[in-house]
Amino acid sequence: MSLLQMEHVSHRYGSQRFLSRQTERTVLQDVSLTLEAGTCLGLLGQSGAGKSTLGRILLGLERPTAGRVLFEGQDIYRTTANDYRQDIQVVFQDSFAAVNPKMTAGQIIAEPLTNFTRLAPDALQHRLVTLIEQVGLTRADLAKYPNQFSGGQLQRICIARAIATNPKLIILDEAVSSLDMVNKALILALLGELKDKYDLSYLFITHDLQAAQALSDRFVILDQGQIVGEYPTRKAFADATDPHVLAIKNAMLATHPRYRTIRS
Amino acid sequence: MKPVLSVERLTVETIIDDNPLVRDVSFTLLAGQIVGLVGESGCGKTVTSLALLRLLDEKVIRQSGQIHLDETNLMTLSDRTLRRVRGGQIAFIMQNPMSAFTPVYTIGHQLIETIRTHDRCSKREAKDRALEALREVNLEEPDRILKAYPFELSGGMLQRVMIALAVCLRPHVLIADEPTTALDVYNQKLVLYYLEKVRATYGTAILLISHDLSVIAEMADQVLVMRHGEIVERADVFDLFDRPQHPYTQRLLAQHGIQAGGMNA
Repeated sequence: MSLLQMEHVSHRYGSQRFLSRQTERTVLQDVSLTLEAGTCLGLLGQSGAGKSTLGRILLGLERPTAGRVLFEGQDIYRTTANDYRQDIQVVFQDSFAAVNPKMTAGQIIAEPLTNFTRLAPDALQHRLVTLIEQVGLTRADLAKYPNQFSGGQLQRICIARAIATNPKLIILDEAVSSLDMVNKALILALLGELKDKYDLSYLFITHDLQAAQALSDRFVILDQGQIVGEYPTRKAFADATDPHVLAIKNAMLATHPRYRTIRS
Repeated sequence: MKPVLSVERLTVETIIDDNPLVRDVSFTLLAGQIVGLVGESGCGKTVTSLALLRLLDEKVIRQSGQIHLDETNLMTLSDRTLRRVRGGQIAFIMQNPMSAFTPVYTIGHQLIETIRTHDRCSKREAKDRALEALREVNLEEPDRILKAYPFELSGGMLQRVMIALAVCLRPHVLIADEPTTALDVYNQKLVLYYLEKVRATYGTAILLISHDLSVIAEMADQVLVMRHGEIVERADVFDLFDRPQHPYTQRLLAQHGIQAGGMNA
């Protein structure tokens, strides 16, 4: 049994403008995909392709207009049990918007723990120290507020929060896209390490080809709400020559002036 | 060839701190040349670009050195004359297009206002020039875009509108401060492509500020590497990538390698 299955999921957003007729927009159309435990699925596509909507549906934040989402065989929109909420966590692009500025790092990481588990105060404190050290920060950082961290450090705190409840799946929605080169490489390395250590699965939503290739085992390309390409291995993706992959590959910039294409 | 912009020993400091934000920066820009300014966040790249237009608050910032645009010395100009230079002879493209436009006016209003501030012309004429500029950056339905408010356009579209706005007055110098950082990879390349088109068509000199060495590799002729407010290395772009001299440049390139490894190197 796959960890996660999306079956023929479609989604429409309706909008009601004042004094005008209701308009509807299809953002996902008949999307089916599976995610095996312990793997990372890279979900690529341009902005507006429906990537984030797909992530929100998996998180239970958006109920699809059609289709089913099965997590460990259970339809997440049918089951009354909320267990899956603990098992699926998320890391967003904008770390500053993803935390409450009035809470310390310790309180931020503790939130899912107090929601889903019953830990004695000292056990909780112990867990927090383990978690923050796990993501490469120190015990002293637990008392700091979000504005005392850099973007890269705050993203580490968001990752610590995401792994706090020992989830099975983490949705990384452009989790490294707003970081500079150095932090991007470091966070990708951390995510890879955590994945092996805790046998995590990732759905890695990104428009960044290099980042996707660094972490993912399988790849899916979404375009205008539909899946237009599936690549079961890294090699299949690297060798692929269909127009959707080429569009992504052509958007990459040269790494050395020798390969540049814009200036001729 | 005479430089369009020449900067000599530009130093910027705050009135409360003796440690300058930018120290002794000198460089020149020739017509049709792209000079890249690289460095980590906080090294003084943006302060330098703002100082070139004297946009820093003179109540708290002291600025010394020489800035010559063509024959004019920008350091001695009055505020009034300076306003004609800004946008007219030197244009600025900022990192975040979402916050560079006024949210309460349409794109058309802002384009037409800018054109008419610098050139005496009728509204109708200004509108035609705005439409032409939008067509030049291949924006579809320019009429619709003129009527749109900034929030109705995507970041990539807005950045192209900003290029259109910057070039419709045919400036001699364009300062682009991290023009692609806020965009996704598809729009990134497109925006760079239009910057190059502007350079090739009008011979505009461009100061391209970026922390992304790929952007520099694609675009620059000359590169200035900045650290703690000082230029630590300057070189031809090919030399810089093949034979970096300063240890800091070597480190930047090595970090770049971590990310770029295996793509097309």
